[in-house]
Amino acid sequence: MQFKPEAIKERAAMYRGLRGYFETCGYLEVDTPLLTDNPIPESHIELFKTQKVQPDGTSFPLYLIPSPEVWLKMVLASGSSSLYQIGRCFRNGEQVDRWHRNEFTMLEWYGINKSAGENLPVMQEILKITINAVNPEAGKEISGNIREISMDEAFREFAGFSLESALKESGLTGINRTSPDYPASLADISIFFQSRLKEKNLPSGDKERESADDLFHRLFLTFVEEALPADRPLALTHWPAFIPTLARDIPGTPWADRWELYIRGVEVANCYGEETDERLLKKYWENESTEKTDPDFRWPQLIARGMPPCSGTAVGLDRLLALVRGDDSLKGLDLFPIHDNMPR
Amino acid sequence: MGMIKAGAIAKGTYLLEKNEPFVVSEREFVNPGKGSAFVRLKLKNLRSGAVLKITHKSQDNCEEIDVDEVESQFLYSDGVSFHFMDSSTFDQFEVPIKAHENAQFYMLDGETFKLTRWNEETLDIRLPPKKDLLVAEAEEAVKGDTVTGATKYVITETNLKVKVPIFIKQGEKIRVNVESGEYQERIND
Repeated sequence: MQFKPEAIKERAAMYRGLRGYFETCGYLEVDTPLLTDNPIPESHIELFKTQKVQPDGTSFPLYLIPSPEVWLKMVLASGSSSLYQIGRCFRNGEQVDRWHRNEFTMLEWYGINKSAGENLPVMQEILKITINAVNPEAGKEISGNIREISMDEAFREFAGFSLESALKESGLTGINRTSPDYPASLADISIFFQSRLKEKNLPSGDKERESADDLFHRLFLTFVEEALPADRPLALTHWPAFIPTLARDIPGTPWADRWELYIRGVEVANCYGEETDERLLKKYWENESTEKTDPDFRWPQLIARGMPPCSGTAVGLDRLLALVRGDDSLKGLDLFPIHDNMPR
Repeated sequence: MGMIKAGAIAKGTYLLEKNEPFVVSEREFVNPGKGSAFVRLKLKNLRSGAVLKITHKSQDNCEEIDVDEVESQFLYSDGVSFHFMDSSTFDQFEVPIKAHENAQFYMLDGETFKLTRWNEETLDIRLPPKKDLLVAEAEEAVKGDTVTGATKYVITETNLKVKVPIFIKQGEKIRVNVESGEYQERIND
């Protein structure tokens, strides 16, 4: 067995610190199921699927959750206070590599009446707590003040053009995906992104079918992500609203209320100001569901009609622990990796 | 050879990108916060050695190429081409010296080398890190000449000019670093 015993103690100390902190903030700890019969549809995430076998021999599918979001939002909709959960999440289909596992631990918290930006001080505290619990000598890359850079600033600096101007010119300011002009605007921004990629002789996928968000991510991953400064933790804020997520739009702008946190170039956390508009939620469910003919609208209705305005943050705790320890991968944290369990 | 999905590419896969042959030296999967799976590749150009970094969507189609490692015997050089013989098929083929200029100094007639071949083109001749060569011509050391330091130049049997210590004589064997062309040591047979 190859795991590092001190990593077990460090994880326990990290959890103690986090729980103590959320207690002082008045956040309720919630423990929700790992199995669901109705996961939030996400076209890019593959789920672990199992069968619930009934005593009469019939069965139906159940899924391991990719995140506890669906449950936590239900709890909020029932009238709870701000809350958090530390628990396991599962993503199928992903290659196990330096920073990816099929099973991982997430801290997810929801602050009522908080916008995404208002969670950055909470994130800073969480970094401080983890550093104190695990590695008080951790360098400025982890312990420094979170630097905030907007996606538009990052594109101007590293990709050489104004993303904001491009989005505005395509008409993606102040409209949302229920607007009849939306498809035309998406087509316009797609053409713009394609021309940028072709200019640099970069792959741009199928001209007719490549989505605007795939084109955006090609540009982002090629020019921006690896160029972001890593001397301190970095929050990349104000992502384009046209990327389909459950983050709400910032009215009158082309941006979503959203940030992603990077430490040493590794994505560790993300935060959304949560969408609560019923039409937009249904549109998201419709677009993301594979059951296109009859999407299950129970969740969007419950969220829209019950959940208070809030923002949710998800932190990959394994990645955070590894980075604070100074590791350059998740390897030392695996207690019983799948391949070690293979029968001889 | 055929199409391969970018997500199936591994370290060591041979690819055609922008019409040039590459080998994958690094591969990392990237899933942006919300979106399709992507893969970051570091590629080495098999012709020039230049490094290319490229990001593909895992679903992109890439072209995988058939690159062979061919054990080949170096027959001779005619000044324009190296003449090789495939050790298993005995087929003879030519490789332009211009594409592998360094190799001319480190191959002796009859020796066997691993060649990376694609589409009738030789992309690489695998040379050893060090080569022992006979000194064909050596200037005579001038007694008492310490102005130029304790080195001089010699020409090896392969026409390579090497800076060596003053005591090296014609007919002796020297070990040369193949990448830098620098003298390493004298070889006593």
